[in-house]
Amino acid sequence: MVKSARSREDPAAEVDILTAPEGSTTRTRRRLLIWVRVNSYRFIIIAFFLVLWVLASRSLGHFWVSSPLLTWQSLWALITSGDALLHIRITLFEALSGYVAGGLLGLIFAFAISRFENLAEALDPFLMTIYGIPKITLAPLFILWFGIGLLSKIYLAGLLAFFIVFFNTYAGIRGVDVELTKVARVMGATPWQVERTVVLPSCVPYVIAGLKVALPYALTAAIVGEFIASDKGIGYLIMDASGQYDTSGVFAGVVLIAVIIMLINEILKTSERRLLKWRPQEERGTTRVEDREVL
Amino acid sequence: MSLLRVENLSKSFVVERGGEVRHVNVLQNLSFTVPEGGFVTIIGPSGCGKSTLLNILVGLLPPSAGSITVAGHTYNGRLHPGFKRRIGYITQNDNLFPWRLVFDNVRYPLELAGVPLPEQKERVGELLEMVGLAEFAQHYPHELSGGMRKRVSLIRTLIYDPPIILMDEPFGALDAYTRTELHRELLSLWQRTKKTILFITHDLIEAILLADRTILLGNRPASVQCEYEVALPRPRHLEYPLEDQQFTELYLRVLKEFKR
Ligand SMILES: Nc1ncnc2c1ncn2[C@@H]1O[C@H](COP(=O)(O)OP(=O)(O)OP(=O)(O)O)[C@@H](O)[C@H]1O
Ligand SMILES: [Mg+2]
Repeated sequence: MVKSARSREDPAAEVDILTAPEGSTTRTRRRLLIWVRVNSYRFIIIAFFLVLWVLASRSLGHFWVSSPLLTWQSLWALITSGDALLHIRITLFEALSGYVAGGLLGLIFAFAISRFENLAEALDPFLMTIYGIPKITLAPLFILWFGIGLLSKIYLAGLLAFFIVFFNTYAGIRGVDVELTKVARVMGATPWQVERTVVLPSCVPYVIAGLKVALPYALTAAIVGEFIASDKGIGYLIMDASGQYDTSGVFAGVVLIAVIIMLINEILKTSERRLLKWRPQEERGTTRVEDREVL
Repeated sequence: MSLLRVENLSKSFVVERGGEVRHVNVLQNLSFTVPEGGFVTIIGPSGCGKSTLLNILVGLLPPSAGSITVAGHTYNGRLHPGFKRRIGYITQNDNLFPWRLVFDNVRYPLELAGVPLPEQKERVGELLEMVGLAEFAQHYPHELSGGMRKRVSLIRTLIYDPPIILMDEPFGALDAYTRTELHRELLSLWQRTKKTILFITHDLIEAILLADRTILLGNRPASVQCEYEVALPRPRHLEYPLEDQQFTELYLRVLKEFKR
């Protein structure tokens, strides 16, 4: 996971933001300063990356590494012809349907088995084994079972989302502060009320962490499925270009994916901030994420 | 009449380490009573089993032996945490729900009982007013100071009106000034509401200052070492108790016993 840039900002500026009264000019000025600084760093990083890219394509040749300009031309052609939108829609549809269904099932399943301690214990070795299996290797099987259409990709994306959300939620349930459940019991909560008013809310950071990690993975799963067999989607676009030795086309596909991921991350970040506004700032984004070897 | 009676209470934990089973005796033959409307403090060395005792009294932990009688009902066997809301429990940590606003934390017990929201609002408003936190209703617990969190945790228990309140070193982590403030608030509250309070501390001055009666526990396994009636007049000198001669006499007497 990418660490937030916040921790690397000038500590003095940070302190001022906290102590200066809300809405005061120092506060807004400081904030603006930080914004400018962070964004100029970003600009430098992008510029540096572009220079490297140009150098690489110059020295290795366009056939191996397409240049930014050629990539842009391919991309523009895809956008103006409407192909980009069509394929993006297909891939997003696969990824998101799988993500929503798989994520929801993962959440429900985690709560269901945590209610039965013996069941959870019985399932533990199996779950850990599945946890270790790179699930993307099931892609060919899924194509075999569910065909080359959208369904196989949806299932694959769903499978990944399911396990990521399940493991995170489950870790969250196990990490619930027992003291809190105890005081809730003393205050008269029934076991079901404890579940709803203590366990569920304290799992929220974990569930969100799981959902956050699962979304790019669902997207990857859909694209990998498309690589293997498909006639639509960004994965298909990339494979098609690669089959025609159209390096710029491949690069254009990768850029499309990068842009989508960036947008998704932005959306996730905003929704996370809204859902976790009760946490102290320093604690946000520190929830341990279960995503080892999940692919 | 005693509202809470503890008879021959014992507790031992079973600890398993690498196949080896060990019994840790924490409480041994503990007996005492708390009269209705009384303020009883329990003092004992760290690790002697004070928190364990409260966990048993409140029904979160089964005793190994002995019985607990609350308002004439003797409980043994099945656990009923809080004994159907007859006992309130202020834990060592404030244990507020970090995801709930102060307002939502305080109304939590009423929400559990299905009290309608307008009524919840009214009760929470009164209590927040009482402890001077009305303007913090819409804050999260991490935005409050330690003393404020203690107040919130206190009124969260008061809101469902349990006749007995157990308190586990509630003011241990506070500075002297805030502590005195909270002592004052707690005592005035106790006198107004006629609650029965069992208060645990490891601070001898605090133990005598607040109590009608103070109970000394010995080292682990803890049993009652001795009890003192604190017959000092109220209101007491909360800021400089040691300036009061009667207080100091009693304090030194208990201290001698405590040091043994
Ligand atoms: N679940 C448990 N299993 C085994 N031993 C335990 C358990 N809980 C508590 N103990 C032991 O019981 C003893 C008493 O613990 P307890 O928390 O009641 O002490 P305390 O008097 O509240 O101490 P303090 O003043 O530091 O809060 C300790 O020695 C502790 O190691
Ligand atoms: Mg303790």
